[in-house]
Amino acid sequence: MIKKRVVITGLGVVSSIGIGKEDFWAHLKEGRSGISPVSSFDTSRHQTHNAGEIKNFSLASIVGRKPIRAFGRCSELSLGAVELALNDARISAKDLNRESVGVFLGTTLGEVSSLEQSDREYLKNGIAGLNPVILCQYPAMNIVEIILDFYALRGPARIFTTACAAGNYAIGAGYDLIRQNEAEVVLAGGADPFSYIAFTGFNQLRSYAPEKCQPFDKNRKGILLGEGAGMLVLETLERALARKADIYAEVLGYGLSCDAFHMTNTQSSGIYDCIKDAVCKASIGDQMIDYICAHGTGTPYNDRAESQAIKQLFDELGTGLPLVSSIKSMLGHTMGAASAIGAISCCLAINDNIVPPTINFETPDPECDLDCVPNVARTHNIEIALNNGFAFGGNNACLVLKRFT
Amino acid sequence: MQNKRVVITGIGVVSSIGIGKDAFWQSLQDGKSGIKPVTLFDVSNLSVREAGEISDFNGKDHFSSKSLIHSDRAGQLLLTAAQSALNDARYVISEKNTYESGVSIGATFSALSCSSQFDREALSDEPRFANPALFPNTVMNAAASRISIHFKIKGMNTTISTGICAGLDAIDYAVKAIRYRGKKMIVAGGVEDLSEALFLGFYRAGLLSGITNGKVVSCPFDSKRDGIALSEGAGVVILEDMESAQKRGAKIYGEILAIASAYAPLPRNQRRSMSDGMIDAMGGTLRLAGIQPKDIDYIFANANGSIEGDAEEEKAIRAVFSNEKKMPLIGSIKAIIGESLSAGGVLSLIAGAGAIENNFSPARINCQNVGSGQPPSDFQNSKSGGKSIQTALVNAFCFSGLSTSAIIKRHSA
Repeated sequence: MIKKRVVITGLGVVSSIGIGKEDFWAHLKEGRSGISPVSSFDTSRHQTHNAGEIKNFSLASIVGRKPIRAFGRCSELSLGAVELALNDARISAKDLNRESVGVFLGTTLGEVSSLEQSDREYLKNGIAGLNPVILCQYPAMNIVEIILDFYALRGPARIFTTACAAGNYAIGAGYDLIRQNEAEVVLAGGADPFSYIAFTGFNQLRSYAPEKCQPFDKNRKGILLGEGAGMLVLETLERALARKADIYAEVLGYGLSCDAFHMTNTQSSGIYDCIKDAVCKASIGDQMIDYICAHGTGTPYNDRAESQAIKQLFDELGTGLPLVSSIKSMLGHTMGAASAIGAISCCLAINDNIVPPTINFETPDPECDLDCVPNVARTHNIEIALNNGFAFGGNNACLVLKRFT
Repeated sequence: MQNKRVVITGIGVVSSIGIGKDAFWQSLQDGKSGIKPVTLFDVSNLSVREAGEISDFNGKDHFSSKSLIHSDRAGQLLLTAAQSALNDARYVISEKNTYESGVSIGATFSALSCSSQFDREALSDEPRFANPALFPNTVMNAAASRISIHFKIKGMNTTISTGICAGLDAIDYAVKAIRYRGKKMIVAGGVEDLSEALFLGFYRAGLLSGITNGKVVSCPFDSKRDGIALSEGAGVVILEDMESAQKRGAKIYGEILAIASAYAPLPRNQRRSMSDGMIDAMGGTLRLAGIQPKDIDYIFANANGSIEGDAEEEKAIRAVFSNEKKMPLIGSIKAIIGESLSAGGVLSLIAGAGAIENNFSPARINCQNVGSGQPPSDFQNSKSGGKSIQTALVNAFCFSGLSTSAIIKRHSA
């Protein structure tokens, strides 16, 4: 059986620096920060107060009609991103009803807002305070079901909960589904809302930055959380060509690995294994990777491990070090959405030959001895881009995208 | 190129009816129910006080305290099942094979307990007093990651959270990792732990059996069914590509022929017909497996006592097998173990492996008044009648319409 080639033909992004790919990309290139004081809950008793919330998100203004059932913020962000991606791909949902259309989505905490709301009610009013409608929003599969219902799709559908690499897991699995001829179209990506639990958790782990996120900077102090959703339309090359679609990039393959070491501390060796697997599965031979959209969280530990792994592998490959930048410097860490939004950035970077910057960069760190495109975007020919995603549990996934020719 | 064949070479079970595959299979054969009074948390103020709790489980019976540090109940149930499966397969992870090995787990509610505890601590005290050790368990891939960390499995680690379908979906992911990504062995399965947050959620959502009369009975397909008996458990299988399994002389329990998933979207202003998704999943699985409905000897149904769900499944099965003169045997082990959600599909698959291995079919309990209309005898049959099971269909269907089916077959070279 001949394996299908898989291309990306639609991008949908909902982020703190822009809704829709135009705004998002314009602001990413200019290095705009989406970080602001938290407004969705009171942080006066937390040690830190900033995050990348999306302040102006209205699902209704994107989808234009009322969804069938009520749902939580993660589903809202996801559905918004799917609609934007389908519009961008110039695909009408009606055209999809008769086919198998995969809906593969990654998330870290999913509809955690339902849990938080229920906990608050429970603490106030006990069992009687628990609202069945809110409770039923919690299971993560709701997020894909809402998309399937909205567009009357028949699946298959999957929810990957591999924490902060989940977007890449979903895109990778979607790529496999098309490549193996099990579907012609897959909507794949990731989403996560900003949440009290994650904000409190990273504060308690002492890995939350007081003000700004400074990936690869010597004085980096940790992550800032963001929120958002990124969805991509993947389809077979034949189908894309037949309908004269604009092709952003071809998916060459993806790598997976597991640190098998610690729940929260990233290992350089696991990152190395993952990038190596990605490069190997993508069969790029001695072609160069021109740009790496880094995981780059801004924690001392992650950025050091990631830099080490990149240097080690590319020294071995002998193809020279790619440019490496972190969009988390602008968006904060959007968790399950992070690698999906990263994949969207790679597509746009490939199309424009521009690498988005790592903002807030002040002091070089000898332990992160990479060209992280400090503060200002750079024009650079990008044929192949690597998109990194690493997660709690050492669940790693990296994606390789190439300009379509 | 022919698809690689994927076989089961090891089984690990931690369930409300027994720890270890033999105890599990024996209880299924004997019809020994796992539904019992809940002791893990206080249920005295609720009308439902029973569930499929694993009362005799203590992680420390299986692992050192150091291995279990910061691991929650779901992590411990799963790690125990994974160890037992790896031992059963006599598979040892080494530096040499670790990159061709992986982990793929279905888990949907396993993070609920720690998430809720962490959240409530932060809300009721001060955020800065919330226990940071709980936080890593608020991610849904925590339990699966414990397997990789403990056994040093470095090839990949995935968690899928599609509810009742999650276990079979994780097995599908594992099969694909072997077929398409060159993996040789995947530790695949599902887990769910019984927690107060989960129990209260299902209770308040009105999904549990016994809410009105306090009597918890798990009676799938029975006309008196009134909801599910919630339970916990972990089921893990060792999946290998057949050639490498044979090369190392592994015992083979059965072959995974195919897995397929589908969904029945909720139409606007209409009632959803969930059975459409189930029909597509079962039909798709048969098609992928390249076999006919008549080749199925036994259906391990999803039926869990849900009033609508069981009726839809019965309808779907009748549609898929409508041209058959004789229906396959049909049973749901959830009558015995209850609904263990993400673990449920895997435990049904393991029941299938046991039925093939030991030539038994699970006892039928709690099922007297069958079906909606005139029930066919096959829905009532409780004995396999000595006929050995060669091929079984395993169903996993979510309340909301996601459907996954799998086919397991007796191994033949």
